[in-house]
Amino acid sequence: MISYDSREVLEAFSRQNGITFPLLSDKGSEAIKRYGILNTVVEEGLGPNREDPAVKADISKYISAAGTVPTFLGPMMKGVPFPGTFIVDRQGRVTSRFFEDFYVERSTVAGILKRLDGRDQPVAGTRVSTEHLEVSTYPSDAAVAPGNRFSLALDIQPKRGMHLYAPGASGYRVISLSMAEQPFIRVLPLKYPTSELYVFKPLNERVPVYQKPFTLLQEIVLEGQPAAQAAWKGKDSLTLGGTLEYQACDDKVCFNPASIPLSWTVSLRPLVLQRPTVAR
Amino acid sequence: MTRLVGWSLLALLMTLPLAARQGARTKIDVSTLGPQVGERVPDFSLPDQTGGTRTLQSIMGPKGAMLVFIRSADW
Repeated sequence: MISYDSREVLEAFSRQNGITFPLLSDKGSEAIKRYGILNTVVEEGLGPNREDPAVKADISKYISAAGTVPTFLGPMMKGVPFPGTFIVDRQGRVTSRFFEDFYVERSTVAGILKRLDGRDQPVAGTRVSTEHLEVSTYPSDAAVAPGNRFSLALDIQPKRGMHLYAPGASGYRVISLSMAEQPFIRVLPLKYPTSELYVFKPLNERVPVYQKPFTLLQEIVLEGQPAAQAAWKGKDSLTLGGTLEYQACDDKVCFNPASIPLSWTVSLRPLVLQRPTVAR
Repeated sequence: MTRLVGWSLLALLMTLPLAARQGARTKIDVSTLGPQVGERVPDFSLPDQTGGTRTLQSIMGPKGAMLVFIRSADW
């Protein structure tokens, strides 16, 4: 983890929060600049163009929802990066990167790992079995904080001989998840894996389907703006509800569209607001 | 030669403020900033919280590394 903080601040922060991975001190922001991710909106927000509507819009996204750089914080914020994550291979080549469009929001590490390779399952799941499929579903994180972007994974196994309809299939109910609406919860588009073509000879039909085990990923943002933080305050868990809809067929019978109600509960943890204790 | 340099400088001085005025501010798009997928990230040599010096090589694990840039651990 890299920030412009002094080594003393990082030392206190890691001690107070039990962090063992390296926290790197880029005092002076030279590395941040070399990476090309210096937050230039801070300077703009303190400069002559701070009233420019386009500048104000970017301030709301990347510095402060109020649209102005807070006077007490502004000068201190010079040198911060746009927060984000690079995953690199052993040669230092970027294999994926995660930058958010709103300064309050961050992907959780487990959420990123879930998006990178679906094998990891740190949180116990709920299993549901119907005559057509088995689904095991779980959140990427057991606990989330305001501003976190995390995911709900649905590992689905069609039963023997069954296929389920994938996006692009017409005339059948494509598998989908509809999430119950809740204030300060944002539901991102469901992520589907690649499907395969099923050829139904009697009708000379070619339809995209899933026949082998596959995973759907539903990303969720627990919003973190001040109003959302106020709404989450004092709550210790969050329950999300949704309905999985699908249609299954085998090589002889097409079953009626079906739906499975699902729910997920995650703990809510507060943001770490305590400043590291260092001589100031 | 001197005159040529002089004229070039003058031309540059004349175009600069104009360019600054015409160059409308481009909206920030964080997805375009920094090394993109497939590109190599710059190396670094920075102190860690224990006082040791770390480079891109020294933080590498068997499969690579995750570099997380944060605003600050202080506020």
